[in-house]
Amino acid sequence: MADELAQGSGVASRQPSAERPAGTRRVGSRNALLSCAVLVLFCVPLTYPVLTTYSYTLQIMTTAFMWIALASSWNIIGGYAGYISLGHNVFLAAGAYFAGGVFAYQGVSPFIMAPVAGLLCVLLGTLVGAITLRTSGPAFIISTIALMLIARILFDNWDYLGGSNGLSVPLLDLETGLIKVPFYYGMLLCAIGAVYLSYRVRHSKFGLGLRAIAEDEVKAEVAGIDTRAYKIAAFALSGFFIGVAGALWGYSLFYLRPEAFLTLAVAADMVLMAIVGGRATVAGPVIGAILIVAFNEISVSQFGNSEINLAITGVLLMGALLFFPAGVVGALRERRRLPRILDWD
Amino acid sequence: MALLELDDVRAGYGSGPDILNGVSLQVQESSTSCVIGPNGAGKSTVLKAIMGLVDVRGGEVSVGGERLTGQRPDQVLAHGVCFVPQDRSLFPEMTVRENLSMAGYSLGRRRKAEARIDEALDAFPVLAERRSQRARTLSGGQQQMLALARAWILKPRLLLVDEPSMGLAPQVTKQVFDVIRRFRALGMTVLLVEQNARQGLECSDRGIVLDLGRKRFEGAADSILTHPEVRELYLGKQRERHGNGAAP
Amino acid sequence: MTNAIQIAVLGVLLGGVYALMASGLTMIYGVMQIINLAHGAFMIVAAYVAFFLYRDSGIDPFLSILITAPAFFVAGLIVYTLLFSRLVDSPRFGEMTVLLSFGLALALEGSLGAGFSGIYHRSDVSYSTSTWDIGSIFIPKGQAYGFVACLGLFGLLWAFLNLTRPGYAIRATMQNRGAAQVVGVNVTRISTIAFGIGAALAGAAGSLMSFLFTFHPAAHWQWIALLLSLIVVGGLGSLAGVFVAGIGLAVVAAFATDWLSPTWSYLTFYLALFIVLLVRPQGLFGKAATI
Repeated sequence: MADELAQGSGVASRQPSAERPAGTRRVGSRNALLSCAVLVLFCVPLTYPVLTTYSYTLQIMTTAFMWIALASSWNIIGGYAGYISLGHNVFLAAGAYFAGGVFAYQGVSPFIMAPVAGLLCVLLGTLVGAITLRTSGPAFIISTIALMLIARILFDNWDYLGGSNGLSVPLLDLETGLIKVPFYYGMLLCAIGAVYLSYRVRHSKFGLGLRAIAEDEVKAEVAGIDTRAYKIAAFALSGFFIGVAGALWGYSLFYLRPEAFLTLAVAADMVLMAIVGGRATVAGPVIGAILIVAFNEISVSQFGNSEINLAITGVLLMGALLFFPAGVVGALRERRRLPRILDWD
Repeated sequence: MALLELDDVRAGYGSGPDILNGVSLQVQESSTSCVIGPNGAGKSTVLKAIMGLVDVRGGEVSVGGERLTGQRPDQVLAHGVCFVPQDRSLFPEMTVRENLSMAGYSLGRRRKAEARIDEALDAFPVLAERRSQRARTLSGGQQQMLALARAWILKPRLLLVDEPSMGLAPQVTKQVFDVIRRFRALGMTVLLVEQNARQGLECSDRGIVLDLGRKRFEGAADSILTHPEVRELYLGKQRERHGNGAAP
Repeated sequence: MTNAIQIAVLGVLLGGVYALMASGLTMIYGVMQIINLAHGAFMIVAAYVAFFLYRDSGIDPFLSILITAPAFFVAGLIVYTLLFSRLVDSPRFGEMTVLLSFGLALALEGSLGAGFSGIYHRSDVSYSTSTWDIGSIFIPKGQAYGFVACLGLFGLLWAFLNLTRPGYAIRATMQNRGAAQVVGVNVTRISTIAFGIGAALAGAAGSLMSFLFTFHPAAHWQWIALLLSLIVVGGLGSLAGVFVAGIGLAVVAAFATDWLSPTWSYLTFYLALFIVLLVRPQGLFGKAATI
């Protein structure tokens, strides 16, 4: 990115003509390509009459969008700020149960409540972050795990919300063929929102501060950055789109159970995607989410929905950490082979 | 004969830039040399490079003709090199005696270590009084003494001391340098790094001036002390203060 | 309302076992600053081993410790050398190792699940159901034996750390890694050995687990969360801390479970963790700073 800009200004100074500098032109074409891709995604559900695997296609793409949102959000605290949270699925559960509960008891659609769920999660993140972010490093990671397990116990025993037996949520009133469509669009918007948030954070002074914290917190503090405020803000912000996604996902399941959200395997997936794709980059979690979702599909079709998937997830995570710590995006960037279309940093 | 030889050594931390950019120096056997220079010059890094605590990326380090480059700290220790770090690196929860005992870890045999520990306590009465005290309860000066006493036990060929006066009051600093003079009197080869250039050079035979990872000047300690350019750059223009500036 | 002494006794017996389980975890952290999230999974694997040894070969779980501990020691050496030691120079060491151990835990859970399915197991030894009756208190034999075994193992650990040369080196490294290097300890080798010992302790704990608790592949998450809470409350790297915290919290949990509800058997630990983080982050016996 910096190369492009430098080159751009260089060309401009050599040729004071009306021609736009090569650098900005490339950024422009990248953005145009991405916009086209997004447009295509918006049009996919319109293939209803034509596509035979319609339901399945929508389902898997919706899942991919959700994980893109989750991984990109996690990346704000886990990637940019370097604070690994293994309990981020608490936001998922909070969003799901909030929207689901409101729908079951008050009849307001989760599609409307989703943004509210997101805001609730931001509030939750601020409160929780204020406590857990008093620690750093290993103690922080441990506290996020404990948090998630406390939440699990809480929801398992919260009879108003169904407890461990679960809460059933009214079905969406649409013909079975089209029932996935609203969720598709909902998650797509959620994913776009999350990635956009990640992008804006990355390119802001706030994001720079977070990365300084990740590199050397003491130096960041000394340089005048209010590390505590920044960390809490990052933690809280990362909860928004996860809460939104939770509201939508819970609704799409039509049945909420704590064990669907509050297991370490779900947390593992968020982390895995961000790392495999490239932590602390904007495009990384997106790539990671797509790869892992695709991989899971293949794996499930080969081995069935068994524990082998879990084992493979573990092995993948270890492999990524040992051999590709910078992830796909990071590794490509190091070798200077990162295609412009993926360079969103 | 040169006991310690650094030949065009380049070194740095982890994946960071080179701190030492080709440092060559020699320390003659039984002599004391002091490395001075501004902050960030790489003075401590020289000692760490010798000890194997930092990646040596180029050049050679040898002691007594034996190549030390790239060896682990415990291997370097086995060659007779002892390092007293800037932070003293004591074991906070262990007593003075236990700390000395740990120093004898590399000596292997229990009895040999015990004898040396007693010897060290005799040589450092300040520590003998506090032999059952936990190291973290000692004052800064006492901790430095303990760190040096550990080296005493090992009777190394080459003693590396990193900023012994750091954080210590002038009175205590004098005591610390007295200890270093004792090592020197025993014929030990000492390489010292000091921020307090005046005091460091005053108990040394030779001085080495380092800046930005390179050697700038080298010479007899008192000639460095009086060299006008060096004085201005690193010692600061100073009037004679009471007690300072006199010969050791 | 059951006798308070009864509850306390049960709590102490349980706490001793928890303390042993957590001892390996805290030691590994103390020596090389690695949070091993796979520690629970090691225990579960060992529990399976002990279970099958009992079921198929009649080897009593206590005796199986003689097999599991050495086997896991070796496994620990291998795991550290192949996996963790590669990350030593990495700039984000703390995170990377946690995530690595996380991946390892998942891999182990998945393998166990694939191999043995999710059926709950527990070794059915004669003493797990019998008790001694002393007045109005009954002491379950299995748990009492387990507690004694834990004390014994703790004693062995103490002896190793305080009376042997490698133990000395480990203690030194735990107190100040840099200082240990400077006095000639080969910290890489010592870290490997320490990891092996930590794994061996997990192996021994797993043998005890096989008859004391029901276990299944996914159970390690509950265990690791509990143990992590213990080591933070006790003070990261402190063996004394883990002992005190283990017994203390187990007693509190026992009372809470009796007065309130069964969920408090775990909740106590998580809440204690949060309280400690708020009030005294370095734990009971942790050090706030070093020289």
